[in-house]
Amino acid sequence: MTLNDAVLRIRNRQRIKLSRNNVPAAVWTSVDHYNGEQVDTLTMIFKTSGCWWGKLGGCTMCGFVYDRASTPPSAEDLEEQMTRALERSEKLDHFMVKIFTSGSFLDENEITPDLRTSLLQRLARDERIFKVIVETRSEFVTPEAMEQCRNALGSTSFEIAIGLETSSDLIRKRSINKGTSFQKYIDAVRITHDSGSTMKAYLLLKPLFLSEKEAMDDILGTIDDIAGSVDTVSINLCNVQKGTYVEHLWERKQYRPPWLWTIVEILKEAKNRHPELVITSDPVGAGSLRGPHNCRECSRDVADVIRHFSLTQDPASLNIPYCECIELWKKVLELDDLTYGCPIMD
Amino acid sequence: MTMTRYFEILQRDGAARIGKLLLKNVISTPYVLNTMDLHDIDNSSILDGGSLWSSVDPETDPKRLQQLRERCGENVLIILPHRSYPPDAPDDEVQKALPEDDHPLGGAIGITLRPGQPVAKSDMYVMEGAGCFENKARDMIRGMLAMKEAIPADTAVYVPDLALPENAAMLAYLGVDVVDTTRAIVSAYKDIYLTSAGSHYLDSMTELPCRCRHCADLDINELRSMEKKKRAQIIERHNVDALEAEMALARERIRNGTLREYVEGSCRNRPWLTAMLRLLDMEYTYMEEQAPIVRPRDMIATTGESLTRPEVVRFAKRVHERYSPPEADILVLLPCSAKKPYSISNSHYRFINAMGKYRKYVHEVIITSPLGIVPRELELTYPAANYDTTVTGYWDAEERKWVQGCLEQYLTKHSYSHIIAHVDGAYREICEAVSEKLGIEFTYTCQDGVTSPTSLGTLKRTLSDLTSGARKRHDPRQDLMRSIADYQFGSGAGKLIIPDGATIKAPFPKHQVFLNKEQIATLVPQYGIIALTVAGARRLLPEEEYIVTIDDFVPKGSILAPGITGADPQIRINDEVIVIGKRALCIGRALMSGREMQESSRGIAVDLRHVKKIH
Repeated sequence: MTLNDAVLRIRNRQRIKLSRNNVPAAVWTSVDHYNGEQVDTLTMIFKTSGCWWGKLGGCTMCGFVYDRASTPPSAEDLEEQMTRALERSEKLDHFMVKIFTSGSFLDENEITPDLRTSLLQRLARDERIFKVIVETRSEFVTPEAMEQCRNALGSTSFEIAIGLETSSDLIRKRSINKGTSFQKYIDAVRITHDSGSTMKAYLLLKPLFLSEKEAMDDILGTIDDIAGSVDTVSINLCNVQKGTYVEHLWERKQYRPPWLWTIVEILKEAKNRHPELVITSDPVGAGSLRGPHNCRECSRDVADVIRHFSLTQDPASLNIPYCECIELWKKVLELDDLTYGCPIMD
Repeated sequence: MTMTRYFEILQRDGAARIGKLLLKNVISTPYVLNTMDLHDIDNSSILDGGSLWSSVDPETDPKRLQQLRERCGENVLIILPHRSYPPDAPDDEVQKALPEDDHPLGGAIGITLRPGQPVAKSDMYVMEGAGCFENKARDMIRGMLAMKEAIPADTAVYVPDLALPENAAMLAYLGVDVVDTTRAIVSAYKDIYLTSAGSHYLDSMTELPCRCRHCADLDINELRSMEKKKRAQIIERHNVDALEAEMALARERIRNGTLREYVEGSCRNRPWLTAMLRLLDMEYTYMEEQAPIVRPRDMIATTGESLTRPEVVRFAKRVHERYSPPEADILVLLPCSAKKPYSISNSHYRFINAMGKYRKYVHEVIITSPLGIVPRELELTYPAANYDTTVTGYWDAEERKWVQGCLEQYLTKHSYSHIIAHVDGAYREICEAVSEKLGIEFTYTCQDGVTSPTSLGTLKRTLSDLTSGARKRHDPRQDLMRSIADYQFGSGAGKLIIPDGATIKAPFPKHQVFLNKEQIATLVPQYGIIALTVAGARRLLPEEEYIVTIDDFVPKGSILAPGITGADPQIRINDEVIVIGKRALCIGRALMSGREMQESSRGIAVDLRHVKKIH
């Protein structure tokens, strides 16, 4: 069995929740870092027909596949999803919009070019919105698509977010099963910049099979590789999502999500190496067994520090009060490399 | 056949073995490797070659490895760069991570091996993802057996990230040669204090149950109040010492052949270890092949698993398959005795006395737990005269079922005109169950205890009534020698080695067999097995069993594994074997199994007693 077969087998056992196609999968507001300031953000997750790659199997850690619609939503449905999402911005007067689908915003099978233009134009007309970020797989970043988006948005800033995960094609293929390459990402960066837009890269801390130290080094190496071309780096801490291959191994005690100390170390070191680069991380699910965690005592506080740093980009904010579990983490860094396949569990 | 120059097995006890890794430092195995030493390039004898998950440049990596080899020398074992996976990772991924065959690096190497995957040549195999097998007895055994089957018998097996003091002996029993300190260290940093009987959270302890150099003068409250790092370092030293002490004990038990008895006891501390022992016993072929035919120690049979240990099952199987009873019409079933061989015990002395002159008309079979049934002829044969069991008078259901099954099988195969059961208690209940099941009538001769005058009188009277007209046994001493020969070399061997004209000299149990004034065989009284002379060996040759073939040379003292061209796979450790080559016929004692003789590239295979040059 290949990795993709294994992922697909689990995918086929999951059911897509029946839900209304005219309601977005999720909407929330938050505060983000932007150009040295803290700004409001409206995040909307659209229900579309879903990620083409995820439907064929796809990434080992990704459970967003199941947020897709059970039947393909119509253009009207998606317009309505945006209407409902924008209702949540009533109290905001100056904000960014982040659009995710459970796949790629630029995939024409999820959102047709006409609909894409129409959605972006609606955002461009709203003067409170100063920037729009959309997430897509790299293969959909074409000069045509970018020109269309730019034209639709006019003077509103536009950012492409890509789940690069790592600059290592080996890890991308053999651990994440991403079905793309570092070169495709580099091409996408060039096209994005040529169109006058910015690029945000999502990285994945601790994909399957890597030791804690290998995972840390992979992210630091990746940041070194992309620092010169990317505008923002956001590090996702692998968490155990339902219906994923990661969950399959985690349930069998063959995967442990990353330590929060690891991301703290990465943020310190990467910020030190690349002081101008915006590096953020949202520790989703921190402190739970399924999420990145330290011990019970400190996980919550350390997660807050990570969030705070992501907003302020201030390295001084990463000085965290001592917790005993850091000693165990240091040993894990040393020993997890030498277990020959079994992660060191809590 | 692959050759390892870097590992040699010196002694075996079942699947467990004492060996040495012939590296920069000679390492005695089973060995507790300090995990961090894998990175100590200047001092360690075993090094980790690194992970292929890190961005490795395929162009420069071989060069890096070659430089490492040049720096540390040939006799440092380098575990080749690996891309390791946990056990449930998809197989296709793993295959692509395998290193090529015949690695160009040279010197001592180790490779990570996933059970079920093709094997490349190596001096040591690292069991991939072994740490994930904690609490998974079935998976661990399946993995280990698949691995052992795939690799040459004389290569070392390293099980990383699993050893604790509580399981070290069981890992050794499984046939693991190298473990490491990863779990002992990680436990320390989790405030878990390890003992051979299990682990304890420091918080829940009142005193330290250890007097090792780190704990002897340490007060638990003092330990608890130390800052984390210092505390963890002390617990780590204790944990690692506890693991090393346990492994030293395991090595000692292997050396004196009693590891089985030890793990039968110590496995109770953790259910999965007990499960491992039971599951291993179900792997009879694997375990029996490695179980010696005799041990220089008594066999202690005190647990439920004593009934399923390979020596016990093998004894019962051989009684069933290889043994033929002497010609007799009357069977007398007797209870076992604490003193062995049975015939020198008080109770058997009385039975024999009571049978008196009628004894030559009867065949005697002893009922016992855990061996089932022991024909009188085999009462000396290991482990019949060498076991010690718990005697309470109470037999549990498993014991009854096992012994009953053995007797039932025997009476299904062999028939008598009369069966006398001079037994009481549980023995009698077993006889009654067999009698009912097979529809065979038993005569019971005990009224008030097996050695009471009344019971013995009844036995005598019953025999006197039955023996008129019964067949008289020919020569019980010849029957004994033939039975042992059959047990040892296969059915039919007895008549070959000891033909009708042979004479038996010297009193029990030191019988010697002569034919035409030439000595053929001797009974080894301690183990109840036969030692052959050259003449005896010649008589056995037509059977073509228990034979080791060698090249064109005259050996001296012993045969080394590489000199062997073929070996009977039936051969077990301590078996009497015949060695033949173009220039010599020899007799000796096997020090490894037949399969190992064929596969091994190092070590003494046969310890010779007689060497006869031939032309």
